[in-house]
Amino acid sequence: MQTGESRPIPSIRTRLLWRSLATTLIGAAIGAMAAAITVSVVVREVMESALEETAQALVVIAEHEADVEALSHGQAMPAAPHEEAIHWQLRHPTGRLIARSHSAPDTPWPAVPLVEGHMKTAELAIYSIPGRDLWLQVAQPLAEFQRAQRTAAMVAGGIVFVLGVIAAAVLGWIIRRELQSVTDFARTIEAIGPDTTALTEPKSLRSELVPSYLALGALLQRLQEKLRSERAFAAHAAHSLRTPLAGLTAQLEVACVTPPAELPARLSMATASAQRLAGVVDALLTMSRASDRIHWSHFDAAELASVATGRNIEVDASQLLAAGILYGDFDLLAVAVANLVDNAERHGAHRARIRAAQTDGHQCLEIADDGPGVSAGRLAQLQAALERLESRADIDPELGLGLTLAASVARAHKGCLTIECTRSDRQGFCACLDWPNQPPNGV
Amino acid sequence: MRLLLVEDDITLGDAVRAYLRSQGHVVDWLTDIKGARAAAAEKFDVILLDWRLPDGSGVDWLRELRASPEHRQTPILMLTARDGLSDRVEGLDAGADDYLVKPFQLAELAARIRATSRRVAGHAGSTLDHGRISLDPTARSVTVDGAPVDLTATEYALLEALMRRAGRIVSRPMLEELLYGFEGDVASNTVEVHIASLRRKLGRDAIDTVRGMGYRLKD
Repeated sequence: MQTGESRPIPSIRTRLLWRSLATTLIGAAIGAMAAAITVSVVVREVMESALEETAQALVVIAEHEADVEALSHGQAMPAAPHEEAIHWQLRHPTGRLIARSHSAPDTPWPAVPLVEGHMKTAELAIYSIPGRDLWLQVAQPLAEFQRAQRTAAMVAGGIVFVLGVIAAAVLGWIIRRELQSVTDFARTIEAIGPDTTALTEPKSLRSELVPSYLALGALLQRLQEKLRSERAFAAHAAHSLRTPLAGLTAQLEVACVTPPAELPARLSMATASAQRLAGVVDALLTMSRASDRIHWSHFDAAELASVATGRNIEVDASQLLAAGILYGDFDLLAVAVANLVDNAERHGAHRARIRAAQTDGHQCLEIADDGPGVSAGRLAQLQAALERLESRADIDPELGLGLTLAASVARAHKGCLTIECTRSDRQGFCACLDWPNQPPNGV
Repeated sequence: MRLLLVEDDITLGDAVRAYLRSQGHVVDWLTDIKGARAAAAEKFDVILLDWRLPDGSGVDWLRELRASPEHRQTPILMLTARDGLSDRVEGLDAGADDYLVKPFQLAELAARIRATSRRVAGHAGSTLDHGRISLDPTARSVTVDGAPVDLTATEYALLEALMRRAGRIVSRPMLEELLYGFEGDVASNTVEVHIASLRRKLGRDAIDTVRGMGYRLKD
């Protein structure tokens, strides 16, 4: 994947792999060097210690061997020819050679004073130790010392370095394996389709990814709600447009075969139907807009009186004059009021009364009519549909366009729409749009 | 045919009523369930029912109608804006004989009314035949032994009512109700006048008078 400027986007996996590999290899190299030095020092100390221990053992033997000089006559001790790793010379305190090992020189080692302790010449590492009336000097070729040190250091360093390389490989495998959870998560997101209702849990979910997984699930749920609402809106729109469209086409169809004298009446009905159709389109557009951000502003409640009119209904909006200033989206509220009045007219009401009120942080617009009302069962059905619309944005065609629109406007204002029959005999119908008098936080 | 139209949209209801009247039907139009429930006490050949009505669901009332013995056999055609498969299934399962989605052509509505009525009457053919008389509801024509007979709209409506109930007695009040759709004010002897006219055109023995009960097509 590349950015708009064709700059490759760094990969977490590649970066982690390279960095861990480099860190591990550098660490391995440093570790190998440290191990080599340490081992080299330790080997030298062990060899010196071995030389010293050998000298201490041999000097005790020489002290108890009374005729050692008689046995060797200042020469090598009698023995079959053999390879010697350690040479020794037994010397008199005056420096004279008393005896020597098979491969030691027949003269005292030059430049090696009779002083107890370790010392080195160009070729030998020597340890001198005094005994009773004698000195023992035990020597080992310096090349042997250095070869042993070098071999041990190389082996130790090599082992540490190889272990480092193995560790780098294992680390790389672990990184790839852990980052697989990110790949699985991406596949889960890829699998989301338009009808996906819930996220499938990735195969290798890790706790670090859980917040993203939960956030994505919540986002998916919100999108699904929006999609469901859009689909319901589309279905509702089609449904709402069909009846006035059917009325219009039917009137025109009849007008085609109507005697000229009756034609104006038919065309008038067709015009009314077209106007109703236009009103439905306006209402649907308003409903669509109500799901977006609304425009809060202060307006005089009396302004709503101008929209609350009907052809065959008497509207009393006098109480709006005293209501004062309201706060909300005037256009949306006006369309809601107009549709509720239209609803009242279409349901047989002859008079409607509009009232606005402000109480305790809330505002209310009430449209009450003198129509036939609805039965208790029907009222319960409508109230349940309103509740579904308010809680889940589920649009129920049973609710009708007017109530759906008013409820959508109330919902957009973070308020609600309540309905009831105005009289105890279930006559009359009242819709009350209630919303807060200040926009909720974040709006 | 006598039709009951239950539709709350004034423009649509008015156009449907006008068209169906022009087709020779008698149409009683009501805009809510309350009124329709009262009207349904009378006999209708076909009921045209909207789904969503101001005072309730047309489908609920349809179930109510099907539960009553008087309307178990009445052909009912749903007129609705709901076009979803589940809606159509629900409407038909509730007892509708047919389902027409708005907007529709009025000619199609008339054809469906005829088809529904034929199916319920038990004959799938497009004409009603009884003895020598043949009535074609689509062409609104009548023949006797294959020869065309000219009938007025009122005579045609009376003959269609008798032919749809061939072999059974059709009461005089029922025929009078049918005539209300044409003449508004029906005099006491109006039915007899039209029956006499029909006899002249179809043959003297075409229609029997069952004294005190009504009229019947002669076998």
